[in-house]
Amino acid sequence: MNSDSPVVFVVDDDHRVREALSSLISAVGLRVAVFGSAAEFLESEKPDAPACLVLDLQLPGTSGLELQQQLSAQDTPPIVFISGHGDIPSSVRAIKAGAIEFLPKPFDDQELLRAIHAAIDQDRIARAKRSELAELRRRYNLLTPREREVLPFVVAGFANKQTGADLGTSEITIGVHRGQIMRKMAAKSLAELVRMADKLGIARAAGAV
Amino acid sequence: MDVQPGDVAEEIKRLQRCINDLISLFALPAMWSGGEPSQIVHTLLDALLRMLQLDLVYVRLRDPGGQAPIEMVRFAPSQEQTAQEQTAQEHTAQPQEIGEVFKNWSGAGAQDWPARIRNPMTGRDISIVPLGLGLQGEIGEIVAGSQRADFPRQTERLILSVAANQASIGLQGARLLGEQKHVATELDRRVAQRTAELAAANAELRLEIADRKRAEEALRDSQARLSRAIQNATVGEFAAAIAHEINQPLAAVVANGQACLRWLAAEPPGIAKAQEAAGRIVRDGKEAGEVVRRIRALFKQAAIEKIDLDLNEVIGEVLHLLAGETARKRVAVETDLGRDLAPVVGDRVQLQQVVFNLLLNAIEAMDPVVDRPKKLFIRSKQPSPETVLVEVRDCGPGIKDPDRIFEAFFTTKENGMGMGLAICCSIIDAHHGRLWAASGDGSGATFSFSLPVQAAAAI
Repeated sequence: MNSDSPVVFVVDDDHRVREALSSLISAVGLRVAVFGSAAEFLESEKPDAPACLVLDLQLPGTSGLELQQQLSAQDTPPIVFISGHGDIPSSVRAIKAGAIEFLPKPFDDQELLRAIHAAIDQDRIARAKRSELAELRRRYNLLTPREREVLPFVVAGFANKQTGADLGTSEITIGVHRGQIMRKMAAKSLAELVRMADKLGIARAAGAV
Repeated sequence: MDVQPGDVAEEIKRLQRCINDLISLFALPAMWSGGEPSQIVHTLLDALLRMLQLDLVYVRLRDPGGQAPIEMVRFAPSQEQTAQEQTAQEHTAQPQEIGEVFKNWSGAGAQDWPARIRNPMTGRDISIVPLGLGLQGEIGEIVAGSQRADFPRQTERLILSVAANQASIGLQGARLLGEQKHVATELDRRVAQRTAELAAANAELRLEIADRKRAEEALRDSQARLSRAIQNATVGEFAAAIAHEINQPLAAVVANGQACLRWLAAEPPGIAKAQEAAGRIVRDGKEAGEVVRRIRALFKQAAIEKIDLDLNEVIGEVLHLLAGETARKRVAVETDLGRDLAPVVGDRVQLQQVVFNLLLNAIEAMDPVVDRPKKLFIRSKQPSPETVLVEVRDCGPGIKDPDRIFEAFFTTKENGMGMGLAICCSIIDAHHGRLWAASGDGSGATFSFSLPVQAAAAI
């Protein structure tokens, strides 16, 4: 298995459940790492790979829901909750907070594995988005302050002439900036540049045509 | 030889002093008893220096333990003064240096010693008298020195040899005492060591006992939780407690079973992994069985507190507890509680539990009733001198399955665990009573239980 192969984290205080899940998950060819508590999971070194967190609701110390809250600020893998009793309020809270699935014990392996695969797919997409955004930010950081001023006008569809008038410079200068922006952002077309700006959350200049 | 009268007087004085000194010497061992060799030598040297007005007196003790010999030296007070003054220019003579001087003759017979040596403190020649300590000088030696020309006189020799003998005896005693002390210390050490070992073993045992106690307490706690859940009979709580105890091993069994199947179906099959999973299934299955066994034992074991109870009081307390529930569901409560009911012997909480469950069941049974007033009827009476009877009647749809209704996990309620009546049954059984149900004609159900009165009770 290469380092990019997905990994499933299991956090459950019951060693019997950990052993069983570890065996079940590795039986379908997934990497698995088990932890006895939230603290153990938090302290562990995690591989840089698409992942899923199978989390027991009733953990001693930090509970599953508390761990979910703590993790929500970070780029953590999606969570599949498992629980000894089907406590409806808890399951509602878990799902509302973004959990993929809430499975009361004992659960069917197909349900669990379906949830795990869904979580891993979701994480893979989130990771791709994160890396794409990181790449766009890197390119955006190459722009000069003046080019960053010009960018909102370009993506708003302003003509060079009008932008030049608004920013107090010549049409030709704006044309040069525009060329630099397209080159640095590696945009093949204006449409692509617009999409990039959207992803970066750059507001278009007001008064667009 | 002519003897002058003055000489005689002088001689008598000298002899008197000698006798006095001898008496002092004989008194020394009493002072020494229990003392260290160094103390003994100390007092001996001081005494000799004073008695014989010596310029120096030196002692070397051989240590039979093979350690370095103990050396000690005393100089006449005036010379010691000088020695201290000299320290600035020259080094003070140390016992070892004097010892160096005497070493050549150490162990030799008295006749081999030179009669005179140079006093390292003053640089003057002095006459010396060496004496062995112990029968063969095995303890050490003592050397007295004086620059007087007539040293040693006969009386001085006498005093020195008596002093050497006394010192030998004292040192021998000290040595024996030291050995005894050593043995005693060794014994103490061994006793202390053994005591420490025993203490450690004890501490370990205590830890083990504490561990076992903790384990027992944990078990008791878990049982207490379960029995509290039973007693409180909030079905949800009891269900949660059971779920917690059983679902963990059950979840593991299911997941292991599925893992086992997947390992067997793999290409090539993971036989070893499948075997491991199957082994865990057996282990966890047994554990789940153990949990069930413990829960069942709980129903039987629930200890009964035996006190005299007025069942009317029990009913009153429960009605009070349920007042909110009956008001909310608009249930009219009617009571017919017999006067002068004989007391029963039993557990207040458990019997409250039974009444609570029966009343709650009755109230819930009337939930579907909309076309007529909800009426809950409770009666207590004493149909015979030996028995007290309690009846709870509702006007709900009645009981479809009166034979199965007391079975554990049998329920007609959507959210019920089917534990309530089973628990009531086990409590009434434990009180040597009877619990039964009857469905009324058309509508309503009646649950009744009877308990033996105090005189007949033999719990």
